[in-house]
Amino acid sequence: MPASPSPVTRILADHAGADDLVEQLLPHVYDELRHSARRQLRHDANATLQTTELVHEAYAKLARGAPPESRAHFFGAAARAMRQVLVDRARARNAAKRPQNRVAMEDAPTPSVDPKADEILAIHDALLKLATFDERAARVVECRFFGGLSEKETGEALGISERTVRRDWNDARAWLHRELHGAA
Amino acid sequence: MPSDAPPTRWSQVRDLLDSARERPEADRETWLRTATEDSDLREEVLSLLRATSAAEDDGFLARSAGETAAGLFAPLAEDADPYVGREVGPWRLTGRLGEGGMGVVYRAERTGADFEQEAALKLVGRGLAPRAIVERFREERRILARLAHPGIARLLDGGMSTDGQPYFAMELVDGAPLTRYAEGRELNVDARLALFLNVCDAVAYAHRNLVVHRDLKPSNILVADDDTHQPTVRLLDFGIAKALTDDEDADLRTQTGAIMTPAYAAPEQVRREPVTTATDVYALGVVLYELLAGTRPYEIGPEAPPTTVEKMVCETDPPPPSAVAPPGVSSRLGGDLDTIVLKALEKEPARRYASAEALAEDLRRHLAGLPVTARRATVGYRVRSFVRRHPVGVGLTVLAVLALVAGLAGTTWQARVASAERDRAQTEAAKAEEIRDYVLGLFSAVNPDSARGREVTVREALEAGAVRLAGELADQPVVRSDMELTIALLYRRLADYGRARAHVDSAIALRERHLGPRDVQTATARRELAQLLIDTGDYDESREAAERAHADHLAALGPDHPETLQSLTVVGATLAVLGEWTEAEEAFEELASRSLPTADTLALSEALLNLGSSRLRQQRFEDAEEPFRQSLALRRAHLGRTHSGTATVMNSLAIAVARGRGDLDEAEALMVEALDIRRQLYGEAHPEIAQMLNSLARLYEEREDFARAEPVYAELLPMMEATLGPEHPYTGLVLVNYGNLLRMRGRPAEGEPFLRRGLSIERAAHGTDHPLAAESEVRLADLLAAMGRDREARRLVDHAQPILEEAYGPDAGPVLGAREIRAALAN
Repeated sequence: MPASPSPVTRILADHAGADDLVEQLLPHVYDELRHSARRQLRHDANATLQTTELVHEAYAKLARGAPPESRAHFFGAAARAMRQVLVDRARARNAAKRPQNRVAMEDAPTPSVDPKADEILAIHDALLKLATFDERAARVVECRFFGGLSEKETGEALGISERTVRRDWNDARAWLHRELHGAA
Repeated sequence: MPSDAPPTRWSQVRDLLDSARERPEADRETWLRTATEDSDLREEVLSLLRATSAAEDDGFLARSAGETAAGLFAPLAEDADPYVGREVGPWRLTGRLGEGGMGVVYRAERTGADFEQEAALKLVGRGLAPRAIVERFREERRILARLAHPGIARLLDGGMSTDGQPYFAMELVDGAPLTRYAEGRELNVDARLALFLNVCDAVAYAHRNLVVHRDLKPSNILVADDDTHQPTVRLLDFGIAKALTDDEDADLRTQTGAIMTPAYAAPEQVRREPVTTATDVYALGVVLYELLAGTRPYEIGPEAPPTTVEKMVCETDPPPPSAVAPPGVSSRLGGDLDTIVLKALEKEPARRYASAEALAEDLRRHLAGLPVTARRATVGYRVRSFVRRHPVGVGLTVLAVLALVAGLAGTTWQARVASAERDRAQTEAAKAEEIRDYVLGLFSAVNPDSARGREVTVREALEAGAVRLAGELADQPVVRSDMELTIALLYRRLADYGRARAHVDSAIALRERHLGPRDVQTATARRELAQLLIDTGDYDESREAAERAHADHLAALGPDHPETLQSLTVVGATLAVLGEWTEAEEAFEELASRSLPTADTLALSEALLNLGSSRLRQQRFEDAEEPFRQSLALRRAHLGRTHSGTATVMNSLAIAVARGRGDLDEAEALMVEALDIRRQLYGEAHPEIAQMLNSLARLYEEREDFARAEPVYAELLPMMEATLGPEHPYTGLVLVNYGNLLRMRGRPAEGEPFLRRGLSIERAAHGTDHPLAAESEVRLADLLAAMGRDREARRLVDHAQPILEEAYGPDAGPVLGAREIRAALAN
């Protein structure tokens, strides 16, 4: 058994509740999630990515011995990291999709062509905008959509009631839909 | 805009929204009217209520990102290979690198080791390896494992997998095949020869260890830039061919007896006669031919029947490289190089160079202007050779050295000044002469007669010269300091920065002692140090040296003297690499305000352009912006606004701005200006203008401003037809893009004829099964689908998709696009 606590465990024990907790955890969680996402899809390329499962596994692996009440904080950070993983992957995907052999005539920016990657990036961008005037609602979407957390886990991660989670989710979702697809 | 609701208003909106949601849907609007007087607020809430229903209807965000986006991690080529993930000996296969004649190559990592190690692991086809050869294979492996040369990829391990397949694990090498590298960098003949000499050195080393490669070809000779941006050569698969076969000379053959790489096979290999070091010399000859002439001595397709191969390889005399090389290169190849290459390609092994070392030696003699052994020593040839050795000749390495020496001795500028300084200039010239003789002496030490049997490199010659310096010139410290600088420069060119540094330091010390610490020449030496320190990445130290050199030049010569300005250029360069943009800018502005020789400013601007471009390549778009701006400022000041170079930088800057900060407005403004400049320079119709128009159209498309893209295409199309011709592939490309745009504008029927015309041009230019044509087919399919003509669309995608998969891999953008369109078209 490990003699010394893992970096994540240490951060959770020392800084649970600190403002920059997410930033501190991010690098550790990011790598773990990126690797485990690849691993999960290596065996069955067509499977969907079980983000919830990945986040729980990452907690079990990285945060052994952390105070139980810090679990929710970890989940919040993991949702942010998952968002980053997916956004990075989507960007890489779009970059890879620019057809190289047409560069001669197309040295101007080319439109991206992967609709899935585009959707992830569009939601990411819209969330950045939403966060400028409703950060909490943006975090709720991050936890639920990117992290795959349940309403209960999201409430615990953000320190708000499930009812508030639901309201934030509904309002943010309506706003995002209009932002992405225009007024109905 | 409703979406820009400020936070205070947003909370009002949310309160009403949440309350409204708790009421039955039919009552909400009525309730809202009673809840607030503010009609804008009401409208905003209603809009979001409608968005709520719409989100509900399309299942917006109903599934988590991981579920909707699993395709992001979608199959790479290696996922389909059952061996990926498996263990072979102490290795785990982590991916597929490629497939060769003898088997499949995987990326592998060592399992269960304390250290991380990656390798290229070659699994050899089972049929090729009967049990009988296993013993022999082990023996060869021991020999190969001993080969330790920087130019040869190390054999790390080899053995049999549990299911009886032999494998080799080699050092993993990143790099491009020799010929492609040379083309990509547009290397000149001398640079190509320098690379090739490194290949010869590695092969010579193996030959001394009695190992013959047997399968030399560009794809086994990889070149990559090292940390100091110097190209390094690495040979793969040394001796593997022999180790894998039981029949001494049947290597390079598949089971059917066909030769694997006939284009590089020597006559004795084709005839199944004994293989010697001369066999590798032949393959080196083919590689050198290809490297210099851009084409192989014989074009032999992989499908050619054995009898054809034998006839060509064994009986046909190849044309000399100069006869088939592009016009610019041809004259350089005629004479020595033709002779050397053809000697390496002799049909009879005994008439070739006996080893790679002998081939290399002759190439070095050629580079040094000495008679080559490949040519019969006629009197006329000796005289020509003497003339070439003499400093009035052209294009020789020695002369390149002399040019450097002259520059160092300060004659470049002095030679240009008026008669008042003539005496001084003559003194300088005399000094330059002394140096020239000295350098020539250095090169005469590379006399092959005195160096027979071993390699004498430029490096060795320099070392010998450096030793002589201290002795012969002990009483002339100033002349000696010039030579120290020369040698330092040569070492810098050889990327031996440690030695370069020692000689620069020595030059500075000599000048400080004998001319004074703040003398003009001492400052010049210090400037050389600053430039060297940029190469070594010691930017802080470089800045210190450059600033001191500049200060001393400024004090002694004034602000407008070329030496001062040259030093300031170096100051600017070090500040630029340090990222001190504000200060660098000051230096650039200062330079821009003085009458600097145009070439130096251009060099600086070029450097900045390169810096920016390299950041663009790293996708660091925001970081690329600043150097582009600096470069642009310099060009605007020195070339004027209306110059094609200025327009080029603007175009790059536009890309950086668009991709970095996403400031499409500025990008557009820059493109429009660059377009305007090119219009002024080239008139109304010119391929470069067409290119800019195309860029601009793509930018509008990126902005989804299809309405503005349309007139650009309308202008672009006739220009393409007028300048490049109606059947040019680029014209086809623009036609396709235009057709596609019309489809985006909701007028697919109008777009169809353009797309079809473009497609037929592409088919005619590249062939019906070319991936570019296939990409256009997909676009046409998409357009037809928009008009409900599913059957035609299906046929097109079904034709295009396998071609795209073959060309780009199953994971590439165009393939996914095709797949998606196909999926939308029911059967």
